Amino acid sequence: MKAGVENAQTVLTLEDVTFGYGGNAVLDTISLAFRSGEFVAIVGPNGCGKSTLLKIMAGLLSPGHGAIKLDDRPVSSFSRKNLARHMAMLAQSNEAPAGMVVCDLVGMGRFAHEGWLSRGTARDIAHIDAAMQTMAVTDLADRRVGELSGGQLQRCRMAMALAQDANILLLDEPTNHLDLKHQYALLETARMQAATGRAVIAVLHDLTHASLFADRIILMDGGKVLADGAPADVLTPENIAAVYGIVTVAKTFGRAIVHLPESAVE
Amino acid sequence: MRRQFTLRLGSAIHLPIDLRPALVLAALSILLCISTLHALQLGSTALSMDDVIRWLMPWQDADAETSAIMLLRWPRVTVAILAGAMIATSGYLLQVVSRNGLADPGLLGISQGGMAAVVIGAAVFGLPPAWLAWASLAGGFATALIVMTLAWRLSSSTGLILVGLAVGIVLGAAIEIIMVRGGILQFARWLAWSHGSLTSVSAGNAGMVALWAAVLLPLSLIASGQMMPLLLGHEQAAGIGASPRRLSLLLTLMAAALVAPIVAAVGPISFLGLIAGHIARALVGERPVAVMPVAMLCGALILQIADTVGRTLFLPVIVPAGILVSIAGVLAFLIAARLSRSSR
Repeated sequence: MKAGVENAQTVLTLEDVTFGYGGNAVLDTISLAFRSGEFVAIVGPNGCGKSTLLKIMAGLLSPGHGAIKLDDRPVSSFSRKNLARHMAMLAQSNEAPAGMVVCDLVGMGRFAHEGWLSRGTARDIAHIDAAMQTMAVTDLADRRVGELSGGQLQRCRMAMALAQDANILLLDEPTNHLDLKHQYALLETARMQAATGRAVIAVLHDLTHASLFADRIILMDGGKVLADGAPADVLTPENIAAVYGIVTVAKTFGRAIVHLPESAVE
Repeated sequence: MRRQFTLRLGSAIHLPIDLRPALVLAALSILLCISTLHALQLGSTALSMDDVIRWLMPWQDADAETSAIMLLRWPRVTVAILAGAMIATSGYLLQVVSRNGLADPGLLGISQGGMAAVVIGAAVFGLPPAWLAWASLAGGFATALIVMTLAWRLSSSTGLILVGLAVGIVLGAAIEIIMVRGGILQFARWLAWSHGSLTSVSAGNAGMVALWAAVLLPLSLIASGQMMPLLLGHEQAAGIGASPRRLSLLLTLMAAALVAPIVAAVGPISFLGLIAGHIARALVGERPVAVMPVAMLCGALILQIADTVGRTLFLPVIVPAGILVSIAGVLAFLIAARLSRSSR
């Protein structure tokens, strides 16, 4: 655990957030606080509500009950553009057209900072170049989306989110489509972003990745937060059994916690 | 690397302009000027180019015969240019909003909605011609909202086309029923209009279309600067700071407004809205700021050439522009596809 995160400023809070489609509650009275400088991983089985939680935080969905506050102001009181200057969100699926050029895609991260008559300023370009360098996609700048592999595209989209230069970074399963090297590279980037003082909140599937990179893990099940804390406190065999319904053995390698099914280990 | 130059004015204005779209725009503008001169020159009574140029110069007096011919010809040429640009804009707006390359005011039923309102307004309520564009606007708005709402429930972009086609077919049937009720003479008059014909365009029509164009075309160009996030899908668009729902609704209404005066004046020109956007994208890529003006010029050029060819090449038969647009559109698309392949 990084020193100082506890005293860091709280940037995003959820108070008793409830959300549902029809009569089914997808999220059930969730209260959470996120601080700047921490990398938080949200994990849980399919359908536990983790992606919905991220969308609620991003203001894409309005909660049925409760409040989401950004710097003590309700998220709903922000204009979309102003919100995007504080909070970047990498959606799960890509819908960019095949003909779009990569530098345009990454450049769209600057949309919230552009005016009607002011685009592509020196500051915009500096942020775009830095983001492309961070994600190692500078060489792809003139390629089109349709020519990229899934992994290259995902890195370009991440570069777009970084170019947005927002204090809070929401990532919805960012390691999808990536090979091993780029999965670790992306998670390392996310951790570096947190180290520079941003709040990084990512929905992840891989518990080992979460334990290895995140400062804090939120384990969700059935629309509720089951555990919230340091990886070693959250990823216990008891919690895993309660949430995923399998009996596991936990092995630790440094920070990493690997859960292996008991039946396979013996 | 992309070549571009930047338009700077103090600290408030900083607009990078790409070289390629700028060159494409310049080339299309030159082509449009040439085709406009020919359109003014050609006709059942062909004029010499000298006469046309003399007529265009405000400080020179054209002879009476030229003036008389031009009085009939300029409204038609003007409407062809403006209608082409407006239909192309409408189609491209709908393609971006629906993220479906097949979207077009005709395919989404918006043109038919406008037509139905025009037919009902003229045949049933006896509206004066000046009001028909507003009737068309009301019909187009109503249809656009119905189609979008129904498609929203289906929540897929193919759903939009299916709903649009269904609504369009129902409205088409209703339009024909009303057209037939007025007897054979009225039917004949309506028939040319219902296929999109510039034959009976008057100077009044041209003025009306120009007025709508003067408001809507600049608005569309301004809007194109805010449209690119929509290409990423609603969720990601909102993530980077756009308001996709509000923007989609606004752009859809704008697309309906763009075809309203055209439907009232010359009838629906199908296929043009579909093809012009595709040609523009083949020429300059996906950036809406570049695609929008290029699509406008492509639409203007195609409709004008189609109309000129239709009224001169097969004399004494006059082929409605709507029919020739389909042919001209496919040819233009093939050329654009070839151009974009060889230059990239």
